[in-house]
Amino acid sequence: MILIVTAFDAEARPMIDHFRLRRQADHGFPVYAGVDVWLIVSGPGRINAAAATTHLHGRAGFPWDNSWINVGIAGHAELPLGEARIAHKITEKMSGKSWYPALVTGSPWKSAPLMTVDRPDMEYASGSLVDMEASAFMETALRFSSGEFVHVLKIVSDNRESPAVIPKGSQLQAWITPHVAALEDFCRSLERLAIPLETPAGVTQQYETLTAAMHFTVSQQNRLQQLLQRWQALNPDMEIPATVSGQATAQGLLDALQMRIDSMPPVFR
Amino acid sequence: MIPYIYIEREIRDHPRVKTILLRHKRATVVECERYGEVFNPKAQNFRLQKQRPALILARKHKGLVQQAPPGYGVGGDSHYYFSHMLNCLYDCRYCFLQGMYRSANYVLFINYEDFLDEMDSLVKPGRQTWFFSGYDGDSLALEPVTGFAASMLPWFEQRPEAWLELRTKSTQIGSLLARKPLPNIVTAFSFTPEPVWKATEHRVPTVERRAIAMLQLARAGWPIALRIDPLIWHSDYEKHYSELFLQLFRHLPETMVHSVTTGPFRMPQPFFRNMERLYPEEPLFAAGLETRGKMVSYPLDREREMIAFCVQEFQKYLPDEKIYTNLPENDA
Repeated sequence: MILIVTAFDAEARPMIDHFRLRRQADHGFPVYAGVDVWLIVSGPGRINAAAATTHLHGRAGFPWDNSWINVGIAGHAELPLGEARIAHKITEKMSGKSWYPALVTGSPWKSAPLMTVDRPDMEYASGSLVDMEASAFMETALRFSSGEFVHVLKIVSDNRESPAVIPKGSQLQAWITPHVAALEDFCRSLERLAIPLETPAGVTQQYETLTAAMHFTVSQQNRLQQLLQRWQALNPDMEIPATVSGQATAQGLLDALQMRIDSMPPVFR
Repeated sequence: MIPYIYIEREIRDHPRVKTILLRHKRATVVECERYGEVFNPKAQNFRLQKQRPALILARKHKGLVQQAPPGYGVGGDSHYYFSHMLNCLYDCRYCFLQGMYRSANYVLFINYEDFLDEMDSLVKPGRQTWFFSGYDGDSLALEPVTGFAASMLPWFEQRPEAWLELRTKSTQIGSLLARKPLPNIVTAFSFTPEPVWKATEHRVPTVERRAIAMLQLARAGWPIALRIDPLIWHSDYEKHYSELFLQLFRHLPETMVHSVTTGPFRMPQPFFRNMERLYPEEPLFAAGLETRGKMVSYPLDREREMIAFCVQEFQKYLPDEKIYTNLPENDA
């Protein structure tokens, strides 16, 4: 699943079109959803960004380890308008705190440091990109996902030669639209990263079959899950033997499975 | 290729940093205040980062050299360990680093001279003092980048009572072969049998290539050691370990072997849980282990059986005084 946070409607529009998202009936924030993509428009500033990120997390069903990306505009002293950068360091000016997104897949964009400020910075003194949301987005999204999945993509909307004015919606869309296809590729590459972290289908299937067939307490369910995982590690694609699954009680099944596993040395060839 | 290099601001102009940057011209450089800002945050996944680790250059401020736990010596009067690096180029599935750290990025502490100063304070005349390197990362694997061993050797040359163990799974022995051998530098090669290497020691050079590197060093006059640690229980382990020992000792002159040590797979429970969570599909973690006290290990009988077997095998090739078993004191 891809979860996108933008500050303005006009920033969101190219992604709404690209991913064919539909407006949801939410109060509080405009939320859009598609097959496996969610988008929220936070409004400007850190508090809005944090609140919207939390709202979207709940709205999408409290997912864990999914791709989060904050897409929006930023200022930079020298970079030309429309240039995109992924952030490799995000510093919050107010607190001095920094975040370092881990770029474990290649990125289609060059990377740059980013400073999050509470008031527009007209002097472009930091040498970084400057925005008003990213630090709060990072701090919040990192509660819901490992850092490798949480990123910030900024498109330069103002620089020393063309200082900050509120850009027209059409201008924002013109800057963001050329990067949306690459954005999808990047987010999909993050999704592929998550695949080895998912429970193998074989484990889930056996777990569901066994728990449907007899009663397991909650702690027995946890133990069953763990033992099935171990069984699968030692015997990929092989179901547990009938002598184990045919036990009369959950406790009997767990003990029999444990005994089988413990007597089974790993085979390395 | 290292894509990102994080550098602590205070060492930005250190000559060693400049040298490393020259070798990595394409890497993106990111400044940080302290390495922990990048290395320690909770929301990180070791397994994912291992796919594309970054390099963090830092200064180590305290705890540079630590006393080795009792039961982990090689016959000296005192034993210490130190780590100029955190994390490793290799990806061994049994390695405790993946359970201990959240980040798989490599941290290199570039203030080698401070390590040497602290060692200097621990060396006592007439007492053999050992310093084990390679606890938190391979001692030689990144030698072409770090120049660590090459920087240490002149100091040890001047202090014959100080002994250095360079523990490695690499074949990066160029900096040693480039100079005359020192009797107090012992390069300790870690091995597991070939089938275990294939299944668990990802990115590690083959057993054969490492055996050749070891032989080259020994023939050049450098003392070498073997570390058969951790012992991994698996189907046909006796056969596989016997074959390994035959392969390793066949051409190795016994006189050049300083020592061989062996010890079972043992892991603090919290580290093991992290490793299991990271690699639930790993057969190594799935069978034959139990929790004993605060550690996850093989049952005591199995540990003893494996160690006894290996010691018996070593005795075919080496005298008893060169054979050590690494067991915590209460189990020895």
